[in-house]
Amino acid sequence: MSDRWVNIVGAAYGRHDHRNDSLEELIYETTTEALADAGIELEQVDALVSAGSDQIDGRAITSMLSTGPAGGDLKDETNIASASAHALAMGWLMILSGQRDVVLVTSWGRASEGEVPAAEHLTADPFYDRDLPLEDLVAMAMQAQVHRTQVDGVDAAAAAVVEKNLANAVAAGRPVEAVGADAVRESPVVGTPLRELEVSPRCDGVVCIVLAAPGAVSTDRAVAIRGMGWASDRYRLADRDLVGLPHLQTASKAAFERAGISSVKDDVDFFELHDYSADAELLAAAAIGLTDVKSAPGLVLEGATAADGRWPVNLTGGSLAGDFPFGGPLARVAEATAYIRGEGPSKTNGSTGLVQMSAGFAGQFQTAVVLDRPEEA
Amino acid sequence: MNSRPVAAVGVGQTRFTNTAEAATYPELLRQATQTALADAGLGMDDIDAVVFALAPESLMGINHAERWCVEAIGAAGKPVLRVQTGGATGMSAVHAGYHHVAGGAAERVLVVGADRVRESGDAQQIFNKIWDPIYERSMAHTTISLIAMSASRYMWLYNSTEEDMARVSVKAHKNGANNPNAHIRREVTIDEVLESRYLAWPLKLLDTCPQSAGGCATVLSSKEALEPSQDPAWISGIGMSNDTYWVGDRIGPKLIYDYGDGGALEAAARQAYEQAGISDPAKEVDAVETYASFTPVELHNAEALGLCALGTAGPLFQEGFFDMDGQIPLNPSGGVICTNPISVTAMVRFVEGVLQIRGTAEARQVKGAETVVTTGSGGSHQFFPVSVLTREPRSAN
Repeated sequence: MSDRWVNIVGAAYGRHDHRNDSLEELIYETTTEALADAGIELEQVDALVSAGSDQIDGRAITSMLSTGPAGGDLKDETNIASASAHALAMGWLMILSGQRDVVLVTSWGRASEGEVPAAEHLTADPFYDRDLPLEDLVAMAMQAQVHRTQVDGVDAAAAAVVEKNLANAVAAGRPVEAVGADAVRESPVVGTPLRELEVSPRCDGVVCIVLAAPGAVSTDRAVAIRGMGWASDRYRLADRDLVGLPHLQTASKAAFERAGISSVKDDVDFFELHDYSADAELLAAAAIGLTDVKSAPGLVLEGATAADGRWPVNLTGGSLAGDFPFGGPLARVAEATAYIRGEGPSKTNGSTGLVQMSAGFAGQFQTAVVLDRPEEA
Repeated sequence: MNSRPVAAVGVGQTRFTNTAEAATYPELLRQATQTALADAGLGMDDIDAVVFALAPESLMGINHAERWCVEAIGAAGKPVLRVQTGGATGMSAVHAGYHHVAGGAAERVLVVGADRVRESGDAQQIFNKIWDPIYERSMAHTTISLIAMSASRYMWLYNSTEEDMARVSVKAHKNGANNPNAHIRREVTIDEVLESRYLAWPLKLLDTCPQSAGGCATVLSSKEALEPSQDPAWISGIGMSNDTYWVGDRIGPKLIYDYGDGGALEAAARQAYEQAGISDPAKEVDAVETYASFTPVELHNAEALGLCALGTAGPLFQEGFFDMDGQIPLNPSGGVICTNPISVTAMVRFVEGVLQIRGTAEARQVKGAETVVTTGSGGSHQFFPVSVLTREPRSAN
């Protein structure tokens, strides 16, 4: 493993439905929980990196109002607007550069704030694409169409992904119901070929991660970021390899190299893959090198990615069990942190995990993070 | 962990104009990118990562335009992230690029952005939407009224006058006339400034920045990746601090920083100076490019940056202390009063600092500039990043 790392010393997240609190109150609540989890006071924090989307929040320069409740007043504050995963990257870089010792990384999103698809639609190219009904759901459906055209057996595997993830969510106590594959296949089509249960439902939420340089915070619960990688793909869907995901291959390769991982199959114990759709989990499993695209359906159907499988994927249900817009992917890092600390499924205590996060139409931006337990905090 | 030294080795700006009708937004990005890469003697294949500077995209009306413009900035297939700290975005993006290189995650980083501030009509209608929707929006609060309150506070604290502000405008326009890339390139008289119409007392039209369009980019490099042909300007210190969001928290018995002063900027500068080994900025700084979108901001910025004592900037402007031939030339480029493409306004400050360090600022060159301070400002006069550029890398780096 790499001898150059950054610690996660605190983490908190909340996924909410029907909370009447303001966004600022939710951010304050989660930040406070993360600081308590780290066992530190706000005065020990050097910097805040936030990730907010003006459009999802319904206001320009959203970090103006969120910086205070996120603990950034009178500190170094940077807002990263491209993806919540990129805020983690920024915090990681700030500590690697030696400029900061303790950094809060916070992101959020409220599906209840307004019409999220309308905001997504306005990301479309104004000259050529704006007249099309393009939004995240349509983009992920187009990706699934290409996927299911090129690869056999995806329909059954996609249903199995949903069945597996919701079962994991139920076991983890999340407020969802387990479903069988038949129920998935019988749920209404929301964007051909995707069915309702094959798409991540949306909620409100906030996540906060406390990063620290090794030795900066005294704790026996640290989790190490051993490596990170992130990469982008082209904008236009027609120009992209929506199945091969070369940019995720690039991002995960960078993360593995930095982490000193030579074999993802042998060296990584569990995976948090961004299942914004059931197809996305299958495609990500292949792009990170766990299998190849055509074999991915078989991997799932054989149970290899089940909680008790060889390569468990999405141990607490992933995004298919509900996720919040924009900030949601970063909550997966908080979940993986809990696993490695021994606060999740028992077999993940002290293990090595990979978290993959995406943003944009059909995952235009991809990020991969390798986490494990450091020998010394 | 120790930071690796980081240098700016390439800069590029478009000519800033009112609406940039001859180029689309992606074309502005492309022009700035290609100019900076050519200046560095590099191609896009030499770049390891890209930082995209885009402030409120509401100004040009395309949400998350970093996704649309990935190809325009040459970032497809590469690591890219977008920084958004309002008007401070351009400098915060430089800092993000700095962290990539200093942290060892990249050898060379492209930092690039552009803006078309007038694309969605009146920028102040957009800026009304930065305020709290419950308490402030209905007050017709804008960035003009925001700074008008700070200006009136400064006037009350230090017996400053509208003439003090007007002298800043005269100096800015005189410098801007020497800058071929500036949006506003004409000199003004003190009477013209004083007779221009009020926007929000005490701010008048000629105390106020324009709404500009254009692009800007810089290439940052590690020491190990320097090419013999490059002329580096070293980032010897960075600092960033921010004030509270609520303006009401800046006035009254519980204030942390007085709204008439630039307390958060002072805190950020202190960090940057410490890293750069600067103990007496009034003696050690050769030139300053500070983000002052309204003339009174330049007064309190000069004080916050330690160039002079609190309340003394006005008289010093009158003496010519901050003129091109003064002791510390302030905003040789003409500053934000002459050019304000919001997403990159702060990066333009940085790029001007690089040109001054290199000695290639032509008619606006400060002789012998070896230490230049550059700043940004964003949000509700809230986010303040500072970068110190030097001719030689400082040991504190």
